[in-house]
Amino acid sequence: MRTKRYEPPLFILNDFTILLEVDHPDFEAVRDQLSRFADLVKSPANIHTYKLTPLSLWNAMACGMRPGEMIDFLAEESKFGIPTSIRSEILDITDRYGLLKLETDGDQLTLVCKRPALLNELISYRSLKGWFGERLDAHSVLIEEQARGFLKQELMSLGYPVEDEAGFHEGEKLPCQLLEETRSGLPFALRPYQEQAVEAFYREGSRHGGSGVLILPCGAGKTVIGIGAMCRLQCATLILTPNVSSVKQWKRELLNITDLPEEWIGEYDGDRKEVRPVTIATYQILTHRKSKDAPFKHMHLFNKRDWGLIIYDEVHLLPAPIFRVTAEIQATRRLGLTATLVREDGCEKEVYSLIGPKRIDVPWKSLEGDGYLATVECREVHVALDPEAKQEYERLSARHKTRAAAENKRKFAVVQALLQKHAGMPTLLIGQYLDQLRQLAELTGAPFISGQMPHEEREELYKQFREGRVNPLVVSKVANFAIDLPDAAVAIQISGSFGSRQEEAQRLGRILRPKAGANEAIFYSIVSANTKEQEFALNRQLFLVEQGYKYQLLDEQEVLQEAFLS
Amino acid sequence: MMLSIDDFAQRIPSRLERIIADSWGRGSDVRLSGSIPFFRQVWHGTEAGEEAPPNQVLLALDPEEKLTLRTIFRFFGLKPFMQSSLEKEGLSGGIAGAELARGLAGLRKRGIVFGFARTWGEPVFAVPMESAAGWHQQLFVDSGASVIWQDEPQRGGFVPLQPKSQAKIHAQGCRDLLFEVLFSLRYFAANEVKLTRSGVVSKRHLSKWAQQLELEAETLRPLSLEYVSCEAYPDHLALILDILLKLRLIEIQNDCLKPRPLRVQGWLSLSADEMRQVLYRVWKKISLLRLPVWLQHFVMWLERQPAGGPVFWTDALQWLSAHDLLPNRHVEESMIKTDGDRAGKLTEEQQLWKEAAKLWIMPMRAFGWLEMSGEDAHSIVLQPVFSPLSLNNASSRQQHLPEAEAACFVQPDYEVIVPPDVSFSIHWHLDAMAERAVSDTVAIYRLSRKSVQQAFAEGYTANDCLAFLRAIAKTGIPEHVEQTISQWGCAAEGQVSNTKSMTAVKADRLFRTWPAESLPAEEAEMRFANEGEAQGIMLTDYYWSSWPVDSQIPGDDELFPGWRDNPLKWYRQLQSYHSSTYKEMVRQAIAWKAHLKLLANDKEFRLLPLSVQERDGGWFVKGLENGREAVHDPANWQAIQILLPGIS
Repeated sequence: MRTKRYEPPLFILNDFTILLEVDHPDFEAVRDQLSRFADLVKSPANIHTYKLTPLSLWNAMACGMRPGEMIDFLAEESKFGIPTSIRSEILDITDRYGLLKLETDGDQLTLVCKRPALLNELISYRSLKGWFGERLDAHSVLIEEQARGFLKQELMSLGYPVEDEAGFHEGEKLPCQLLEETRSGLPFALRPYQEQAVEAFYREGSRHGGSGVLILPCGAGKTVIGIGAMCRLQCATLILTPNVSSVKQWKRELLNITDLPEEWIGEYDGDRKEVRPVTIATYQILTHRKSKDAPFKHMHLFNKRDWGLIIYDEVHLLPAPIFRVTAEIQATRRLGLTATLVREDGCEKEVYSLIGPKRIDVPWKSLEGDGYLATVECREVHVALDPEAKQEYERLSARHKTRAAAENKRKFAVVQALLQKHAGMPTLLIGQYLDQLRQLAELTGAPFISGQMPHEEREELYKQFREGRVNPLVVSKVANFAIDLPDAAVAIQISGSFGSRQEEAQRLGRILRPKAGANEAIFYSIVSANTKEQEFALNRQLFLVEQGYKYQLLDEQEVLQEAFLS
Repeated sequence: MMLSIDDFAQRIPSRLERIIADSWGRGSDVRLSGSIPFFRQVWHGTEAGEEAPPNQVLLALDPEEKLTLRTIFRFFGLKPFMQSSLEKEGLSGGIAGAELARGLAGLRKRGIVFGFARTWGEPVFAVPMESAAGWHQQLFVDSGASVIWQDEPQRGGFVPLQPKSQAKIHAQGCRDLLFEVLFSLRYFAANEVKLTRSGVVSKRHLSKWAQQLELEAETLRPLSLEYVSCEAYPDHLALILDILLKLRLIEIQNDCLKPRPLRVQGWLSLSADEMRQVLYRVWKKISLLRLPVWLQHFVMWLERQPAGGPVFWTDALQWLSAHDLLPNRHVEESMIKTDGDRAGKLTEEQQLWKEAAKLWIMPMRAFGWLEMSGEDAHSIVLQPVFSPLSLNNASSRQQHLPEAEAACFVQPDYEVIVPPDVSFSIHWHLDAMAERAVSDTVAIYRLSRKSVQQAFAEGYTANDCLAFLRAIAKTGIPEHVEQTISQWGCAAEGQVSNTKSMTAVKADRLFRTWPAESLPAEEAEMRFANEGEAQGIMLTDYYWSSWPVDSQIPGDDELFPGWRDNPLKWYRQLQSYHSSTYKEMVRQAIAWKAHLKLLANDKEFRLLPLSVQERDGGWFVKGLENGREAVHDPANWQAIQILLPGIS
């Protein structure tokens, strides 16, 4: 039920940016509708920024939304109306959706076009010519089976998205069920938004479903959703992940929440090459080759079994060679999982063409509000350099200044004060420089996990941390990705690259999972005041507040004094 | 440069003032130059009050005055003209010189047209731009406008183009000229812009200044603007410089271009629409005379379309065609015909669109004052962002916005989001302390260490910045943002105190004081609306401000010399005379450029005689009958009368 209000909450700018007032009484209703056809760019307090793009509009069309709905909605919710240019652009862009459709006619794959003139034009394109077969009538033309992905990619680059309704092959059958009680003894069921996400992908098994991308914030349980989709489809599944830790996490989760026996689950990475009904591989091993010109010898994994589903975890990191292989297996169902569609390489269109359109985008704030994610507060503690260190720092070249600031010895006292303050709370100590982390481990008596440690040992320490037998835990950047440490409630970052948004997101993700009790977590960054490090830390600060986290600046004296008083 | 009331209001000879007042039945004590409301009432009839509404003002004109006014607009638009060229153009439409001469004299007496004496040649006449819009509207009435609904079922229902009444004002994809002016002023405030020995802005500053702007010289090139130092300035910078100088927002001080603080404050206290109206006026004055007459009519038609509403180019063409204002008859035909018949005529129509687009619509679009959609001449829809005429209308004046209204959002990511309805003085201060990110309907500024340090260099302190941000922030300043700005302040303290520009700008506290002590908004508006403009850099053929206003308005004896020497019945009665009298009357009519009323074959008709031709022992009269050439044999005439306007 919408509440009565005096003024709508949106500002629509001519560059397709849409600003949404957060304190507006209709915020949630407007956000839910807006996010169906606009991409969230940032969500700091007060005003959230969205962007309309051809992809966001086509994604919305793929989910059944119509431009009339979008325009009516924008007109109703905008404080100052819709610029004419935006209105006509929305109509122009959405007009292109649905013009082209891939269908099957018996065994034959057909491209159907609503406008014969457009089809004539497309057929005359040199880059497309090779893919077309016999012209069936004014509206349709036969397509080579293997051209399905490449054609979609090429047409997308020409600005014509293709609705792929050619369906999928079933793949090898795999009976599997989600358990009602996990093997670790806890009750289990998909959360409502996870159910919704699985259904948005599956679409009752129709030709409209079976491929697409689900967007969920870190900690929302993307792994669980992937497994849910697999259990819905009951087919052999290839899961592609960014790294080995993630492989382990998927396996652990599969074993914990499904009835699949361990021998049905294979790991395919640098150490193991198991191909089983459910196989979890890393992007790295698939794209491994001996030399620049050598073939990717592990890519054959795509054809090693009759996969019914391929899951692309962290799809925004999907490497280009895997896109190429994916283009060849378009008859296989594909599920992308990610927290963001924004790719550093700008390959969002490839994700749309080859994996599928966005099927759901679950807002982080709503999960936090429902208690599925912890409420996180970010704090930046400024620590001065000792006078001698300051003098030394001033003498250094710009390149060395960064490291000198990061390794400021006074930071240790602050870490100790924070550990004292949060005694008993599961705490991760994160850093960039191994020497510094070793010293920290010695000082605190905490175990230290780095890339040099064998995977088994790392997993054992993670397990002990999860079980509360080890606390705190000192980790290097190996812990950035996909480790599952559900109870970490405090993260203290003693050094970092600070400029990398990816790194910040991943580190933060470690403490987002819901906690028993207050369900709150704190993310500290310790930064040397008035140094390069502080300048870099501003990037990090910006990134975190853009995500909507509360941010606080503290002085080391405040922290030390508080610890002293306590 | 078009004639504006400001150009001569204070120089109207008292004799002319009396003549004008008498013609409207006003007391002789009324000094018109000091009676702006009366002028407004006469000139565009939009001032609310006891005076007659505009259409009644038009009704009060004599028929030949109305005809003359229409002829002036029809053939000259707003271009100044001489009487001889008026008569020449009139003749092509079959209008007698006598009617135009008397009509022109009448319009001058009524203060609708003004004459200016020059040291050489004929006097030049013009309708002041302020009154032109009102007269134009009354002489060339509007037809109804269309509202299009696109039936697109596959798009999820009907997609209406907003009906005019519901449409809201919105800026165009291009940056509003207001921002270009503001950012230029900011550039002159933050930099010491010294003029070179030849009196122009140095190349270095021109390049940096141009970087502040989105407006491009190419957009204005088709207008072929003429200005001093054209070799030094590109068109867009010349335009902005001209605007700033004309509005007295900047001045030359010690060979530097400097903003004038009080004047700038007055400017910033206006609402966005008021500023647009002032800028539009300056722009129109510079550019309108560079347009062909048909396009000037389009501009005046466009001006009265409601802001925010859709305006269809095809409607404009239909209106121009209906009033016979298009330069080419073929286009009129093509507009009336159905789609199927239009083939072959499109080129003409496209030519008109092309001309309108490059000379008026694209510059207006580049100023952010006109939105446009559609691809070809037939599908073009325009949307005026504001109403240029409403400044003259007291009831449409907007409420002035309080400067310190807390309407902005200071975001935790250091962005300041400024909604469209806040005072421009807020933009001024934000621009001093933050980087520009977006200058659209909503403006976004980004606070950074560098930008805040720049503000310190201009004389702001960290406390000034924070106090200002607190004053404008709707939801307060996030704590970490406040702390960071304070830190930047501490770090910068020692660094800026010795800078040169600091001393220079510190002297000018008005620019950094918050809240500013400024001109009352009403007063500022009146000043910018009515005060004469200063000298800019645009060149003109018309030196209105230096030419004396011609108060010698001819009466009937000067217009028709010797008319009293003839019998009155020549002018008042259709009567039969001897052939020699016919001849004499014809010659007299030719001299006075007057129509003859004739009776031949028991049928009355009017003839504008042009010459008498002697042939085969007889004589014939060549002239214009209903605008077409005709030769008449007076032997067939049964009666004759000279039609002298005001006398017959």
